[in-house]
Amino acid sequence: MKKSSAAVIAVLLPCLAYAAIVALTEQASGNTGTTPGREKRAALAIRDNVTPFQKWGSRNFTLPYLNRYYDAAWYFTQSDTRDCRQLFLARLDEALKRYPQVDLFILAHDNRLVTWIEGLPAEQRERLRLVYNTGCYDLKQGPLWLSLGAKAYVGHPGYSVSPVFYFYFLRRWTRGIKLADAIEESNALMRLIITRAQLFSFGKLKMDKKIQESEAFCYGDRELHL
Amino acid sequence: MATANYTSKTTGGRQKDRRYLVIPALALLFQLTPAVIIGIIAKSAYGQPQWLPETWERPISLLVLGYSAAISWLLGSIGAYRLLAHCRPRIALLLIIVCCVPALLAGAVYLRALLVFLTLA
Repeated sequence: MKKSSAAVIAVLLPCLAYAAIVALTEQASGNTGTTPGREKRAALAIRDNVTPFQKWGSRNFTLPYLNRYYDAAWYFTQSDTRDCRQLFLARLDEALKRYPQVDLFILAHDNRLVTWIEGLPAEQRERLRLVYNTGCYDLKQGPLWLSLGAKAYVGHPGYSVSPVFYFYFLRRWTRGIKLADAIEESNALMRLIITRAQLFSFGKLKMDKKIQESEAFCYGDRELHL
Repeated sequence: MATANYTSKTTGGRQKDRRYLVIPALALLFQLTPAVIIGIIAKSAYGQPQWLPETWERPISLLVLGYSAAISWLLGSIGAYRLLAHCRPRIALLLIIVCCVPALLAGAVYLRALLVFLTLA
């Protein structure tokens, strides 16, 4: 092959590789929102005791978005189940006193973090806005979170691949997309990934069951946006 | 004497020609490096004992992702160029698929991760 042709192909290959990765993992979305009112909101996120790599990925992904789109953000990484409780509640208390809108991101396997919140004063809990919980089977906590004061609760009904959903959801929610739309888009992208994963698993992955168990649902106000 | 010289040149020429294989092989082998380094960073920052401060973990991670993307793409592209320029088309295609494409895709993943971590994507 001519050297000039080889050079052109060699330069194009990285661009094609990037386009392939984006095409495999994203869909074009014309759905963009605006995010005014940053000064009114705060967020807390807590990661349970998982592998160091998972902790690394969760923090590097989550915290920059929270720092960028919320006036105050706190991120906790647990070393055991009850780790960070005092500090988490102290920061949540501070956030609820200072900000009218406080969002919680619970990045933890099947968890009972809701029991931590019950002890906070009711008038403070009224400032809880969105609670997102990655925990498997934790969708059922929705009514309890709403009764505690949260405006909306998003969770997964079964043994889910919630990290895939969360990867899409956080970026859409912080972009200002309405909660219902952010959930719908993120569920659609998660379905796409599960469908593709099934192809590579040569049928071992039970796609319909995995989708059914993973799709996020919302209790409360689906019209919320950042 | 003349025959001996011819043989020597041919052997040397073949050895020289095969250098186009080095960069694609390096491109593939390099993919072990980011995985190992990120594993070490994660263990150092979030494992026990925890000796890497969280304030250091993020800039180091971003640097590793950035450099890994750049090196993967550089090795993948140069490897592909040398294969296309110096090798038979069929062999070039095979080696590009086996060695260069994984490196280029991995580079794209590192870049994607970097942009997402910087909230730019």
